[in-house]
Amino acid sequence: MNRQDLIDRDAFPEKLDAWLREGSTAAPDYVLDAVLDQLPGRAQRRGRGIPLSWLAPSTAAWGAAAAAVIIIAMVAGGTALQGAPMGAGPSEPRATPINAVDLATARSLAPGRYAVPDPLPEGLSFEVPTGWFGCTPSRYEPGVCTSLGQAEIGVSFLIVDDVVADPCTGELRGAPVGPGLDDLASAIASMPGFQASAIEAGTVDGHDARTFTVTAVDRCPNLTTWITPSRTNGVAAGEANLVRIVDVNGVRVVLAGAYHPMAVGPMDAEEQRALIEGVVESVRIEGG
Amino acid sequence: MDSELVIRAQRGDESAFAALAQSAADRLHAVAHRILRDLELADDATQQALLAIWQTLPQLRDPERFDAWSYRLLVRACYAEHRRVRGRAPVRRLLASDGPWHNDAADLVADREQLERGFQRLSIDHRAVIVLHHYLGMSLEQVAEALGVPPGTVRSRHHHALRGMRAALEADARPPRRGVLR
Repeated sequence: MNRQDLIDRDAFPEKLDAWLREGSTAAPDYVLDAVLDQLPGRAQRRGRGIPLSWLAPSTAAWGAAAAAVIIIAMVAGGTALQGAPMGAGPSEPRATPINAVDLATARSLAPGRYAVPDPLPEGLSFEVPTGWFGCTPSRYEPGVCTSLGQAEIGVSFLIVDDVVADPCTGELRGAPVGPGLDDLASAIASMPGFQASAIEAGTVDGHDARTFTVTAVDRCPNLTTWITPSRTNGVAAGEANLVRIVDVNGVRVVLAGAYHPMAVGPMDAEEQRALIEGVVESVRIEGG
Repeated sequence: MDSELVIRAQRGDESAFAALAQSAADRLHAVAHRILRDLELADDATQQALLAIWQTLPQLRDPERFDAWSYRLLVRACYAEHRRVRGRAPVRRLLASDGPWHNDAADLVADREQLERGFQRLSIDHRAVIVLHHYLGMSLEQVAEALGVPPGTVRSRHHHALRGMRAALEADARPPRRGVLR
């Protein structure tokens, strides 16, 4: 046999399989011992039993809260999110009930709090005001939208695996994005064809998070962006996305709040953004 | 895998988890060793993965998926271990061979060394796909489910991993220069 045999297309997989069979097949006892020794000091992270049955939401409470959010954001010139710290501590128990509906088919949503469905992490919920509906292209990206004349704005909850290298062509990166929050935030913020604000670190109910805004510039008509387990996402030219990435017990959940700063319609950019921020800031993570 | 054990462990039963961990430790360690190529790192990754399994087990919705889910946490632990030591890994110098090769035993050793070098040039993502598919015998669709990534991504990683290893081996197989390669 010579060296060429090893790289031969037919012989290579067989050699690779044989090579992989060599090596350890048993964990040393001390590995398991160390794990079991640490269990008493390691609390399990569990949800607090979010009720999944339909419960009537508190419309009046939401209306007052939403109005307050919008007014505050408008007064602050649409910069409330960047300027405000994210919630620092674990969430307090709330009286607000949580709705469970199929966000893929819900033609309209009653104002109130909703839980994101599987496979997004259990315990993550958000609130919507009047006039929103479900807009969910796949189970990996449940979302809620509202219509502004010809345009829609909305917030999606995504599990993102990777980010494209070239948004115009959808070409993939040479190596997948790394596993950390900063890896993903940096990859999204540095996509060609986008302008990005500074990435801000914070927490949501005690879970690490990164927040920034990316805006598509007119490099090409439609820009691809990030890749979920079901498809490659994209945005329209000029579209802005308020992006918040939260580490929910090891799962990176991306909140992407899309709005249209350049669109002509019933709301200007600041008003649109205030609506998006209202939903993003309402996110709570129970348990963990 | 015993679903009853998983359910009991999800409720905080430490003895159930101990039995579960006992049955999972060997397979997790074997996979970690093959991904990381280092026994000590595999020990640490297995330990971290088992602790993560304990802590997040209540969030596993389908106990039947415990095995696949545990590999996902293990691969995350491998990432973390790899990142932790990446900055202080010793620089290895590769000795050029004078070939041609005549001896079967020498060929076997050389095969292993070349495969090792080619494999170590892969990212952890790519290594994980290779190990789960070629060592555990999972289909690429099963690998995708275990890792929580799209099947297309796994197929792409598998393709690029094999191509990357072959490219590395082809580079090694070119007529060598004498002395130490840097």
